[in-house]
Amino acid sequence: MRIFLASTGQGMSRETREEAFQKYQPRYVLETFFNGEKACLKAMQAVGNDNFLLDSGAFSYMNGQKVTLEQMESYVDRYIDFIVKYKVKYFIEIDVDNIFGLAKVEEWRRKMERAAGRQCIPVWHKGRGVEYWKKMCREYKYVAIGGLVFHVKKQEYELIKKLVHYAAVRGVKVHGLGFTKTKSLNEYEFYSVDSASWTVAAARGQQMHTFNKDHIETRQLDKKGRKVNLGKLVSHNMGEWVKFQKYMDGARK
Amino acid sequence: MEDLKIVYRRLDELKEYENNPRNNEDAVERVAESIRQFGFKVPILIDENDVIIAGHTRKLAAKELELEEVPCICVSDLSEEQVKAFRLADNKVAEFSSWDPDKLADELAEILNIDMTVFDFPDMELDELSVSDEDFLQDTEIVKDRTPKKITCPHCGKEFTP
Repeated sequence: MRIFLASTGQGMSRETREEAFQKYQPRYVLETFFNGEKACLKAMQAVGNDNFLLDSGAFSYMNGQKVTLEQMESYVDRYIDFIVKYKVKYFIEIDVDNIFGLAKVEEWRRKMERAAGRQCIPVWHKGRGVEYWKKMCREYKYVAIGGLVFHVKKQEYELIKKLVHYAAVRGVKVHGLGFTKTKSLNEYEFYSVDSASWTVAAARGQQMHTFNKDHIETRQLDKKGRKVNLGKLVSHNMGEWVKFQKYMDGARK
Repeated sequence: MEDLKIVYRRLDELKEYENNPRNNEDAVERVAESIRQFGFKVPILIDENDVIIAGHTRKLAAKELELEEVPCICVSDLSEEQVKAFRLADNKVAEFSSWDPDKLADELAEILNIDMTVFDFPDMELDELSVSDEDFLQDTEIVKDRTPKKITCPHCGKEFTP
């Protein structure tokens, strides 16, 4: 299973980031287009096109502001231009169904695929319904499940397992967007997942991650009387997640 | 390349590697079934002291089938460290392969007289999706109430939004 490190541009200074990349050499990186072309290009160059996943970041783009259809169209065009210019192999569709509707998302998907000359990775949300999942599995070789961070509840994870299994037996690769449950990851037949928790947990919660045998353990650093060097902590967490990447590489259920 | 020679060892002569990091229990029954149906076709790799390098599951399956001896290949051209590395690498590399479901289905369809169910191949016909939209929580249940909560001041009784 491929574990993509997301948000590698965050939580570290440029120097620390470069050092960390040099030292730990992450295998797979996901970058979101919202973080800018430079960040995406850097991430892609660091791991190579085969090991890079590009996310539209459309949700982040819309976060907290009212985005008009024209503004979104312009964002989509820039996203497509980047994909075409740098021949990005694996890119995720702009899955903002709940704002602009599925028909519009499908229109952008077609536009993107025509321009890139290859399939994108469509994203399934609960709102698309189970039949749509089956349709995606018929039409695509690589699909994603979104909403795992905020919208899928604990009791629904067994259903997610079934959806992923349905795809897996049909040879369809499934990416779990933002799937951070490292302890139970092996119970799912995901082809790949991504997580930003290694940097977010460090930068916002001063949490230290440690790879322990087969999963990531989290420890809250004692803040009393000590100043935590957050950049260093994020860099450390990256190193531990790279160990996890290596451990999970090739692992199948 | 050195010619490989098959030698035969009694099962009680074979020594399992004490630190074998693979959990083979779940595979033993299937390997035993394969040996039962097709014979012992893949020899066990051993070092010069009859310690298993690759083939722990085959040895356990042979034991289950009460075989007295099994074919082995004795590896003598690798250092102790190379043997350790090969033992791991041989197991790891297989994890990177995956099935082409269409070709697999074609192949399975042509096997009519051999029971393949024990090998647990995925069956697309049987693996239909037993999930419906109703199984998921409705959005109204999962969307958190984001309207700011009002707090009543215990002194003056006025309500305000923090």
